[in-house]
Amino acid sequence: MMEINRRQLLSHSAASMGLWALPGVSLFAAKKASFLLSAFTNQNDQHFIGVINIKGELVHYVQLPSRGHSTCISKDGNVAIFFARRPRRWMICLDLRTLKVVAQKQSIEHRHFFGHGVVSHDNALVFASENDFKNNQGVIGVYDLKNNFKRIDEISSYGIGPHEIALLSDGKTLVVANGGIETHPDSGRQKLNLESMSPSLSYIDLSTGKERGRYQPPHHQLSLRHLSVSQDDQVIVGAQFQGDKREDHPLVFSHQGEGRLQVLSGQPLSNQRHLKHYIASVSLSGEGHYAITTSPKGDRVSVWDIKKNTWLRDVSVQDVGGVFMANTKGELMLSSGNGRLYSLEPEVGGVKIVQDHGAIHWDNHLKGM
Amino acid sequence: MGRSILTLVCLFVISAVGHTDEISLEHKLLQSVTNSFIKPAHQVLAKSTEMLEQNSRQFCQNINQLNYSSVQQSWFSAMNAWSAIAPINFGPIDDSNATWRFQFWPDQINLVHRKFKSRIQGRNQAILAKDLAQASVAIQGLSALEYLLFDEAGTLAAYQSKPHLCTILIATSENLHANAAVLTASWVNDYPQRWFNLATQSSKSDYLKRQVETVFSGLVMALGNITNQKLGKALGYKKNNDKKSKQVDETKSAKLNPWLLESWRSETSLKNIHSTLKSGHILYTTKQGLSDYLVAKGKKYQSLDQEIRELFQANTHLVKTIEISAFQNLKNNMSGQLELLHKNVHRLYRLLKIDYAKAANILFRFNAHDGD
Repeated sequence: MMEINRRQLLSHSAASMGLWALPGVSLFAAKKASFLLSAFTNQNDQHFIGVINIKGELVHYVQLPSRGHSTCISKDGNVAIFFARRPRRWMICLDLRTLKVVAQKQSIEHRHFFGHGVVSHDNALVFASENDFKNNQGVIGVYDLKNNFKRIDEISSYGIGPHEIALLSDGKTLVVANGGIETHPDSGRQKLNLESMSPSLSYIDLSTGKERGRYQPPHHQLSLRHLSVSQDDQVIVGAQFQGDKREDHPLVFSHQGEGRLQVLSGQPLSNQRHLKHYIASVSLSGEGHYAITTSPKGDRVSVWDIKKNTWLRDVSVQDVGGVFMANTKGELMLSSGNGRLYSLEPEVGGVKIVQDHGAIHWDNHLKGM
Repeated sequence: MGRSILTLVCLFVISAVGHTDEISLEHKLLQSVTNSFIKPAHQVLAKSTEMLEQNSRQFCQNINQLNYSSVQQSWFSAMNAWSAIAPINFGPIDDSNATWRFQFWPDQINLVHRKFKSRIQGRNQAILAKDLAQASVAIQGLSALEYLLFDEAGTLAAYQSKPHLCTILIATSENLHANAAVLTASWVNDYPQRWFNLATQSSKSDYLKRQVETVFSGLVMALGNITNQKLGKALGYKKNNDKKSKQVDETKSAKLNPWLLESWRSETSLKNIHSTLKSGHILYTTKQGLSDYLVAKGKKYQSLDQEIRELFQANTHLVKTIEISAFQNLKNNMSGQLELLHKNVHRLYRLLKIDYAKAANILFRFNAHDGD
């Protein structure tokens, strides 16, 4: 792993990395100061984690052992925890004040990460979605943030293939998108049970480790993968359909205590087909009015009104993957596989290029603080 | 003022004509590739799987060495035809999520054997092709048939002593042919009509360009699969071209491993690679295809086009010159020729993925192809 400190970074400009920047829009000017984080891959298929500043510039990067996936950030904003993309086994913790890697952990035997995690509200624990591939079941690894990220426990995810996880506002309920797909690291990323998969959205009481509720999508091959939770605990979850793609299925659902997942409706069928059965990322806008989903296979960003559970509009953005609320005004930032970072105004659907990093591929999650 | 307006009108006409030319170039590419490459390649696949099914039935009616060799030979042909359509990983096969029904590979944990074990031993043996279609993909398709025809569990002696093996063999070959027939019918009958139906597209030029990207990406991914999976893993490469990297999460050594080759049971991995390279070459050089598309972007790209053509030719030739099977090569710790092949195919892959894509202004998608 290669780490580059700030001094080196100054002499190691974007241009020297083969990156270049457009005289772009200052997305976050006069807004709350913020960093965004994303994994990326360069043209030589080398993998990195990157810290992006308020202008969309890459201000720091650390080379990774393999492709990264997503990140979670400690509540005090001091540490970012990056997870390997399945079926890899590393977790890397970056001190955001010093930009130094402060811990690098391997998953325990017979476990690998699924790429997502979340920090507890009291900033004491990190929860990570993991695969117990020996017993073919999903687990949530529990790590002590204050004790060098030592793994101290694990609980069941109550499903196979847990992917993105989040905490509800009470701080003790974990919501898990169980993708339902069986994989094994010896078979790489191959999906082994598409005929019998059983995805679910599960709520787990962290004080007991017991499941409080489980909700399944309307089709057993709608793999629930990515989610985002509003301040009033409305869960928006996006799916990837693993069945016959000639069929039409809704891909975005809401849940807030109802007896079943609620389909976010109103998207015209022709638009739905543009999503190519694939939601890569879900994020909410600052005020919690909108959910934003990305579909890189169809080059689409979809904006949903989650107060009415309806579709608002689609915006075309090539190979779009990451999406994250960028500031308190409700603007969002998007990242794409072709190296671009965009701003999005969900209310009007306006998209502007913030930076074009050309020769790199942003991975499909963008997180910030 | 009048001159300015005239200039503007001229510029508009010139740009409109240029735009139309570009659309027609892309439309022509898709039609040409469909008619000259995709349809014939699928027809060969359907024919070869039909023959495999017929020969399986014939063998099971009269179990002897001659018929056993015939059914093995027809498996080679079907596998060859399947490898030839490797660059066509879009359209009906993607829509119906059917790739794994044709081939379950990579299979590093030998799931094919594990899934077959009880059936071979005589338990859970009764299976019809229609039931198989709903069963695990590990017991369907060409990987399953390779197991049934080339593994020690599927020897001639085994067929002579265990009649139920024939039930499995016939059901598996029948199911494979049914899948191949459906796939081929889609390409020959209805899919191109839908593919070229521009009436529903708000931006026809964007749509057509995106479809050219799809064809191009199919070729690049097939070549990447040769370097990363079909050769790279067995040669001990950790990822892509990086043998030396010590990954914190990689615990396996970088030893040669012949059992990570694609068709190690039949020792025909190199034949598969040859078939994919040969068909990739055809796809690239088809009239009005990817080669012509590149050159149409500017004469300055002729040398790049020439280099790509030569590398296709050289690699196709190189793989033919390797006389000993890849399995035996690696089993005897000989990797020199395979290393050279890996290096040269990787060069071709990079040339297309980076240089061609840049020259032709084609986006090789990242998250769209391999998201999570």
